[in-house]
Amino acid sequence: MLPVMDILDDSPESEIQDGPVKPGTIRIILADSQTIYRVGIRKIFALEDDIRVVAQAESFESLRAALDRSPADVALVEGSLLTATPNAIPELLRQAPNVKLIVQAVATDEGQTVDLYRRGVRGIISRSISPDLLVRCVRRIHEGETWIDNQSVNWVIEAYRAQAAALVSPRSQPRLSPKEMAIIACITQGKRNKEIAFQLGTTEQVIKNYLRKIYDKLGVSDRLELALYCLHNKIIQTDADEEAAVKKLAAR
Amino acid sequence: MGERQLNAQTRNVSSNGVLFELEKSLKVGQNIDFSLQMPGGVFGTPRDVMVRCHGRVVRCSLSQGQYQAAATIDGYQFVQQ
Repeated sequence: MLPVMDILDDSPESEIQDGPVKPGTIRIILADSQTIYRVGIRKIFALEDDIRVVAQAESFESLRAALDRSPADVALVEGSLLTATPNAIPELLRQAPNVKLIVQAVATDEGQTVDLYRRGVRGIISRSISPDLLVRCVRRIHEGETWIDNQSVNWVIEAYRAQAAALVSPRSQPRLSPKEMAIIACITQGKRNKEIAFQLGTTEQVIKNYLRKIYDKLGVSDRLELALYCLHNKIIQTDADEEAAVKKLAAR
Repeated sequence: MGERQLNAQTRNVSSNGVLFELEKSLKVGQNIDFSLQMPGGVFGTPRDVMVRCHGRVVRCSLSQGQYQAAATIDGYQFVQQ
């Protein structure tokens, strides 16, 4: 008898396992830019009777196409596939409201983690997760649980506490961090994201992430609305404070 | 050709449109370019914030000796400082 691994098809293409899916089977879509990663994960799930990989995708667009073609219970998505598209997660959930999203990320900071859960992700896992843990994560999330580590629990609870405090205190404004204030100042000076990133010593993507967070906090959707919000709400910072904030952040 | 420049006072502004007060009337439907000047102190910037916008006049009426014109903001750009 051949070992199980030898009879698996390594094809990276999207449609992969034909035949009816048994009731109760977890149908999963793998979305990852790296073929080797998809092949490896598919092999892990092939050993489980109750998990069936129904499609694979290598980009955000192909993930959307796969969701259209193949009804799924869970989508396991590489985090970087989501960063290039604003509102990627709400878009996916609008398209497939019942699919449960698991994001695989190399690393996430507090802002990204809270943002992912707030937008509807059911679990965030490391790219280096063990096979056993990955299978357990998929089963739990399919059952309706949220997969979250202790650190992320604290971040999410703090975010909701801050939100609740803001709701019960109507006069209070959303709190902006020094870095967020510095980014707003740069925007109103006409700087592009790339220039802001250079000035603050970070990457354009990080600036985009911060901007999304600022927009969410203030409930605005573009730079002009942001400026008008600041104008109407008198978000005042002296020149000296702002310069100090920028210098301090650039020095980090 | 046919371009003229006017000074106007902003009475109200949102991201979709603006209400100006000015001394001359504007034609409804006319495309206009305008700049919004916002106080730098609000943003922590050394200079006032300037936003160049273009839009279209949707309403213009005379009120207490001054014209009030409402215009859309169809596009904008922050002026680099």
